[in-house]
Amino acid sequence: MRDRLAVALTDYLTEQRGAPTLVTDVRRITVGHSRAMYRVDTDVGAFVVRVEQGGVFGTSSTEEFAVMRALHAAGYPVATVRWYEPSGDVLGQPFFVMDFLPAAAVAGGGDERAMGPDGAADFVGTLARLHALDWQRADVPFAQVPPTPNDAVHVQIERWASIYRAAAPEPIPLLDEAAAWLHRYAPPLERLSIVHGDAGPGNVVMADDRVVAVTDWEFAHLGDPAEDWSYCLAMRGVRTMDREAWLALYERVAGVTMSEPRWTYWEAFNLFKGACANRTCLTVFESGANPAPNMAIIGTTLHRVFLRRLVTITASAP
Amino acid sequence: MSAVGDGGLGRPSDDALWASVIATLRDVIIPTVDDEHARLAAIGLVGLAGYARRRESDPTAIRVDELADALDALAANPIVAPHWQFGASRRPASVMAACSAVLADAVAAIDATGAVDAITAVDAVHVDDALRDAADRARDALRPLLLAHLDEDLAAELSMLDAFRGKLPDA
Repeated sequence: MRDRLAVALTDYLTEQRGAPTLVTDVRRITVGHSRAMYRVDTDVGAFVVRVEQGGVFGTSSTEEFAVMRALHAAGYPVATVRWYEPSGDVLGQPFFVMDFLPAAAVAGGGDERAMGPDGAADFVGTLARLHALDWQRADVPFAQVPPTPNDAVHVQIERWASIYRAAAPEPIPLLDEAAAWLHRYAPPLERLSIVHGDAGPGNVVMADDRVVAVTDWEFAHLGDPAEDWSYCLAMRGVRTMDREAWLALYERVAGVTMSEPRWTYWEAFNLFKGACANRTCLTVFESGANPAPNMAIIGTTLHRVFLRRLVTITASAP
Repeated sequence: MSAVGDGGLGRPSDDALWASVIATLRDVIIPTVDDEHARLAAIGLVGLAGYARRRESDPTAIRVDELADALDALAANPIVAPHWQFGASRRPASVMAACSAVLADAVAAIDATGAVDAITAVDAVHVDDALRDAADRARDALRPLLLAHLDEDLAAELSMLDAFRGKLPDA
């Protein structure tokens, strides 16, 4: 497998660079499920190759690549993306190549979600900068631009509902009930921001308690920053520090405060998004496009864990 | 466990086959694997094999019948009637679609009580009491069934979570 990858990538990188490029080593990076990630060492330096997995989570490398390139050009900390291969002819799936960023030794015994107080503060500030970035001036090419800010959350609810409906042969009533609940209680929004969509520890490269790069942009879209704050608080950041510590940091570093019903709403939204996205993995697994065990587990158990938490919230008003 | 997989006539049972897969992965393969990605994949496979070994026969038909019975009992309910007629087809897709539509409509009817929403700060649409009661009845009938099905699935699958997190499930 590694040898086949090395040969294919040697040819591909040689063609893209316009100069002989020898791949000397290919190693799978363990983190992440939506894409297969490989560290590729060559005689001209190291790259990361990010390969789609047969439709996992219903997201596209096309938009991810374009968003990363625009954000990098705007000065936001994102790895430099180099080349995008959309056809699947080279590795069997679309992929793109970006520069490898060496992270400092991870604290916390190798836990990718470990983050010290200074690192967490820098992460919160970095996320706030993303939300404040003028996406129109930076010309960030999002596939979906809501007609008005207030439409943004409705667009996202329908986006995720469509992704689950395309993946599941039968409707999932509790998920459709949740979609109606989310539409019903959607909070107003004054200004569209770039939302990362999967923000938090584990999706940043850190060095010396500073964010070197924010990673994993396949969920990025236009919407309400509250989605990111809630996602980190209730999901990605749970293991990093407790809720009160995150809330205090949000307020101190980014001036972010929200009412409890709004936190509840956005937690429900993120659980809905997760339940919908996770359901795609069962389809990918059953189709044979990716028969890895984690696909079956995400598509069944994780999907239902998210759904179970979600329906507890949607049993009443937020 | 299905009779087909119970062995006999010199065939190993499904249970014995899965037990062999799990034991071989756990005791022979995984201890020798240094590559982190391969090791996690192998642990995931132990989780899958354990689930395949323990899971019961497919409950879909029984569950769909339970939901269709509930819908039949609610067929005159004004929230249910647009989406379900008494004695309608019990194909899983039809029954689940009806449940989806009923629950979604019930959200609007139950929650639009005329109060000012804490979150949206706008006046909600007034819904008359009869419709709200109908929505309550529909939701009270369908939601507990769907939650019970969800909980049954989770109970059967939860051991896979350990494997997903990189921990070898209990033998």
